[in-house]
Amino acid sequence: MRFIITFCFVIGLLPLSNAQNKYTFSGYIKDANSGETLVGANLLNIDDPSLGTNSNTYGFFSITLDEGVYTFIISYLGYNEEVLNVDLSEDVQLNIELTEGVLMEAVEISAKEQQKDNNVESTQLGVVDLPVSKIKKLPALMGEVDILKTLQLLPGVLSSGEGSSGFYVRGGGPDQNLVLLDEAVVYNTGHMLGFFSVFNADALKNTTLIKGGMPAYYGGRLSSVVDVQMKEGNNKHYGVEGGVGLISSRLTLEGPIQKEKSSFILSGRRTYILDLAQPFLEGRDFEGTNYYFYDFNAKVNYRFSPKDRIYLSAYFGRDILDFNQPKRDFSFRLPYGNITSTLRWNHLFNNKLFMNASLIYNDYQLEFNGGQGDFVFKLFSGVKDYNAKLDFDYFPNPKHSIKYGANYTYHVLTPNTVSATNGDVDFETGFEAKHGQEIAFYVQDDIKVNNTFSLNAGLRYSIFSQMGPYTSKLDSSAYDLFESVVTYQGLEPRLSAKLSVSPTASLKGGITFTNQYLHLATNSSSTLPTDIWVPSTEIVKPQRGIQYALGVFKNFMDNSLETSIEVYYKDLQNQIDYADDQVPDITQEDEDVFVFGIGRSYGAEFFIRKSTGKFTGWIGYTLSRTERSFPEIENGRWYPTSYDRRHDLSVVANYEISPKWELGATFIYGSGRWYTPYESFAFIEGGINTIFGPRNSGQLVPYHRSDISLTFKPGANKPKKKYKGTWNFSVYNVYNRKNPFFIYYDTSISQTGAAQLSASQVTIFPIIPSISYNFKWNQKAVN
Amino acid sequence: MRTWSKLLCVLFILVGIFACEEPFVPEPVENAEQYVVEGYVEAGEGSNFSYVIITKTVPFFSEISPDQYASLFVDDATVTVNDGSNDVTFTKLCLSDIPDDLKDQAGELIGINPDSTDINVCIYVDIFDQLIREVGRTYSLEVTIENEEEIITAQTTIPEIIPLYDFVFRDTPGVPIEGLAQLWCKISDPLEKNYYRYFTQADSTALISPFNSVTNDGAWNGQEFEFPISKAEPAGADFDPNTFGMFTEGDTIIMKWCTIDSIHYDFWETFEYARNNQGPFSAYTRIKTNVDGAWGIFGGYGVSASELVVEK
Repeated sequence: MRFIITFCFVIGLLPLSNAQNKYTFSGYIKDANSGETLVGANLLNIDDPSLGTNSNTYGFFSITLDEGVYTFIISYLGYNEEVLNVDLSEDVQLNIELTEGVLMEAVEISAKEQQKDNNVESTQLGVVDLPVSKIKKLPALMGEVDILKTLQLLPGVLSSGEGSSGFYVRGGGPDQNLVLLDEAVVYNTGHMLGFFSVFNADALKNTTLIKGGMPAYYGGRLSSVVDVQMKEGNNKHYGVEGGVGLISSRLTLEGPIQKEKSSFILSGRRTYILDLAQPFLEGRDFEGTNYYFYDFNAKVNYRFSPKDRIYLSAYFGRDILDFNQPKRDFSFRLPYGNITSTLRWNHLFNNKLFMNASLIYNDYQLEFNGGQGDFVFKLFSGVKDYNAKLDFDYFPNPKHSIKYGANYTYHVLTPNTVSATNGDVDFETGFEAKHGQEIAFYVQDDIKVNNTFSLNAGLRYSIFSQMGPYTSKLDSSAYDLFESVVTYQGLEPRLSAKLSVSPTASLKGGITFTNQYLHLATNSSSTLPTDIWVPSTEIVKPQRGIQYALGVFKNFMDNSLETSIEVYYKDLQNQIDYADDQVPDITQEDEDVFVFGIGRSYGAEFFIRKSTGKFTGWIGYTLSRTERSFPEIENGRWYPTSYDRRHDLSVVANYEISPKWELGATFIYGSGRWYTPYESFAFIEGGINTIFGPRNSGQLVPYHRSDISLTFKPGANKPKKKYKGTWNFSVYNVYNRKNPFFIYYDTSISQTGAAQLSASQVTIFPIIPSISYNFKWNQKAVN
Repeated sequence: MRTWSKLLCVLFILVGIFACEEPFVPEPVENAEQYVVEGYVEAGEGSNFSYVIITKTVPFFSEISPDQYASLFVDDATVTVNDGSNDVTFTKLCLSDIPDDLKDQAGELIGINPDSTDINVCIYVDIFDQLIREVGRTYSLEVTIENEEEIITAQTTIPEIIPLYDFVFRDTPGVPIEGLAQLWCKISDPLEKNYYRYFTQADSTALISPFNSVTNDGAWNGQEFEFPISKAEPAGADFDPNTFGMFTEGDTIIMKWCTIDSIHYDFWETFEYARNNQGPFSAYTRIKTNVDGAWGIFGGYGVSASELVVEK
């Protein structure tokens, strides 16, 4: 730990010794109404568009230029642009506030003409920013806005199943996505078995998906990053926001604690649909059976000097399933969910050097407490991280944007630990939690070599140690707490480059090496709360991946229409699965039953997006293939994984009919999911019994559906009203497509000895209309 | 853990208020026909004679009439079992050879109703009980089928018998249900790893295994304890959550408790998990067979059977 601190401060403070022979324009870009910092806002130097910059994750920007007077256009999607003249005869620090609103078309086009769009200009591939305000305008299942389901509409991102918020990125497994909420890892992102995500959109500010060239700043996962930021809370006025839907309601309070210095946000959500069903269960076999989930987000921040700001944010969410069968004296309670908390300190050493120091804690737990009569059964599993990280953003000049830092995480992963009591007899599996520590150092530089060529070069060095207490299964050696059992390490170079071929077109390429030290294997066709995370151990080796990507980016219609084609190839080592004859057994540890193999995925993604104007939306199409090979599964035959979807098409459209009415629509098409079919049947003990064919050799019918939504804003023509209500009418699966959720088989033998066989597909979401009412009250009326 | 998965599915059922279903016709899977072997050697009180049934697999979506079903039974095989001391060649026994009063029992064994059909099927039986059936022995099966080059082989053992005791019938859990009772019993599990399978005979059914018929002592190795036993329900029986697994007062039942070896356990564990694990989140499970050159099970049972009258 001492080494990390020394490294960070010595390396971190080096930029302080730089002589200043130029002048720096720096500050924060914020929302004018709420004071929320804006992530990824664009600051365009109108005199030389190549010398611009973006605000970082904390809304901070810095650009150092020769002495002179410059004109900057500051823009952010959904906000009116600001034009600023800045006299750089000395360093200038300025916080820029943008007003939310819809641009007049003429102004928008004029700005776009001069602005190289980020899509073309950025060196990174496969990065998509989705402001939550945009996500809220799309149709939603049962009216529940869900950022993860919106991400599934992007090319290269697949849903893990009908209605599920689980997702796969470019052929990666569900454990290969790093999902962060204010920098804290969220290990289980689903409520209600994944039908809804844990993210309450009212509490969120921005979501960034990185599916391609993962910058060196991020690590620990092979496939993607979903970086979700919570709102900071309005530091100017008090506000209340909420919604009432068919299955849940939400309420958010925010406001200043000390005006423009400190603010808070509190947000909660709870479902109630089965609470309403309770009276109908009275006196019945399952009286008292209930299910609900809730979550709670809170965040406060305090600016204690112009250069220092601290943030404390927290999330707490639980799903609770109570099952009761009073006539059989049988009951159980199954609670599961995440806790995350993040304490961050933002410090400006000077106008070129920004620091973020974070202490992060996250904890995912699953419990099962049940029994019948004298028999009591308890199960617990979970994963807990203690994380400290230090990140520096250094902006020496417009040609370099350097980020570097270090990260330390101590993991505690508890496998299924079971205890049971039957009268006087106790049973315990006695499995101990697994411990591990992960250390990473990284440096990355976004280098603008010249007006046409830029690079993002990064290097991450990660070290993982399995720690005691542990008894080796290889040589029976015993390890004490904090004693290292085995250590893995690896260099993870990251490189992406961009070549501008015209003001509106560029070619990009990238290569990304990644290591993953925590793993989740599932023998279910979907991710479940019961899935267990396991660390790398002396038996389980780290997963390693290399991704190669190439892309062509071209904008049309004065940059208002973005298009791109990206191709990728991913090579995956040390992939983990269960053998195909594995039966879950609480008396066995997962690491003892894993099998290890390799994987590959490759594909092409086509994307067209219109982000401005009354009509917005995108079309994304992916042609891809994803395969795995395990020596223990069918002698290493390459088979398509459940993450393989040969064709995947998403069409998203939003049309503002008038200030009061807005129409949204989506269409999704995907090749049928792979499944393992029955090959033949045999007679054992006088009954029909089935034998499975090769893994994933059958394919379900293609999935497709369309959703529409209509949003009515009755107060839209009264912008000065403090209270605004919005009605949202959604229809999920508008043409009632019967998409298969799963199939099941029925076999029987008749009295005459004739065998009767049948298969059925179950659809869970036919056409579903829904209505929700959302409201917002702000102490000060704004447009 | 299976119960665990099923309980999770309850949640799915609770929220699946919109669910609907329709027939699904999968693409046929090309496959080669395989031989299926099912054979047992038992020792202990209440044990059966040894037998082997040889059939063939059928493509999954074939229509199977009784005649086609009968044609799956292989009747041109030579079946030999070695008990460590001698080789015994089993006798082919066809339904038509069996006296009428034994036909029902034979029909249950092979899954047909002999009264409803005139088909004739054959199995292989140690009809003169020549095998030495005793605990600790290893049995080797060898099957040759006419005009087939490959020899089918398998091996099993009969582990030490670990009987149940202190059987008692008590009120059904929760609100007692008149006329029904739950069976409780005790076991004293030895320290080594043990595997068990059980069968019950009640309600005029044959001796049948329940949906989850096997267990191991992973969670209670070396302990003595009391536990409830569920009545085995025939396939296709109506499921009533309040009466499932309960015995009817006044009945005379048979409880057959067997020790099995680990390979035998693996077969039934994977077999039952694959059969019972259907649903939205299920994955396929390949059944572990202990037969080389074919699919199926050749297993040994250390049997302790008890006849009990259901009374509280």
